[in-house]
Amino acid sequence: MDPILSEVYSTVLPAAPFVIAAYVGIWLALMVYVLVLSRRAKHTSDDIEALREALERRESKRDL
Amino acid sequence: MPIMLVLGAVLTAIDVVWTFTLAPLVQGAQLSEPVVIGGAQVTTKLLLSQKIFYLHVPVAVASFAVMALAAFFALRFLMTKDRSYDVRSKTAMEVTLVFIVATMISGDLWTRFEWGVWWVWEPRLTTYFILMLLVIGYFILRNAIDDPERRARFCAVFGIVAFVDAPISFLVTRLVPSSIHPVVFRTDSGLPPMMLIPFLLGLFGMLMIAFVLYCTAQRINADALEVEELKQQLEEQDAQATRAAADDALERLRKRGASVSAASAPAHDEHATQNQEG
Repeated sequence: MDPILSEVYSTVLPAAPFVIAAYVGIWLALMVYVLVLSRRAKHTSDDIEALREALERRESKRDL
Repeated sequence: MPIMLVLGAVLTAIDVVWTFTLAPLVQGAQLSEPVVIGGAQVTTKLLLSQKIFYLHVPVAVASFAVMALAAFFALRFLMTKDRSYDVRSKTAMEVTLVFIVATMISGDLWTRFEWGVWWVWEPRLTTYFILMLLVIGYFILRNAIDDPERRARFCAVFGIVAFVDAPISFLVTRLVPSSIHPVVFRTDSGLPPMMLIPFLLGLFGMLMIAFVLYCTAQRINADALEVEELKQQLEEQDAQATRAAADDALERLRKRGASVSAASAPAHDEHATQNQEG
């Protein structure tokens, strides 16, 4: 490679891993939060289901 | 809401693609001699690391914006005592923490490459680090107080006080001359349109993503709160039913005891009379 061109791009290639890591890091942080939210949503829906069943059991007991 | 998410994702995607294809590289140190690249004379080294700022700054601005939302809801809670505002404030703080972490990751990588170190106690970095600690402290405080009413009140006050650091962190690079952190938001930023447009697209896209994340988290947190309240109600009902059953049993025992003592009283009297006669 031309030595001047090599000098021009001397900071480009070494920076590439940092730039890629920065972009990946940002999206990773957001994705982890989305994952946490989806797990929390599932947990909440499971709880709602359990509560509904508990209420149904209670009502059927009361009817008896 | 899905439309806003799609729009935010599209704007951010355009920002990323534009950043790496159309936006020119920023110039760094002087070359030993000029060179012509693509018909243009280049006299300095080209910096790729600056590309980080196209997403780093929008994420940082989103963290400030969502924290402002958290402080607003905290204030509304103190004014109205409505617990839904406490949940909203907590949710906004959660999203703030996520964006702060994302900002820290991207900013630290830029610092490592450009300044050669992972951390510098520079005014912007220091105030932003304090902001992160305050947000983490907010959640520690939340988990430390059991009484929901006290927890909501204390956290609302703490959230408002913590937010004071946000404008300080935003403005510190302008207020402290020794700050070496680059300043992007200014009227004479000097950004050419090919750099300004992707930056603004990323900014609006990231704000939309932050808002959608907040709304989604708020819905889930509100449901979780409702579940907790329902569980509490069921437990209280169970406790009341147990108490009522215990009271009934006690009452039955008392009645039975009274009837037994009433039945044994004539026999006792008869026995006493026989003794007197004897």
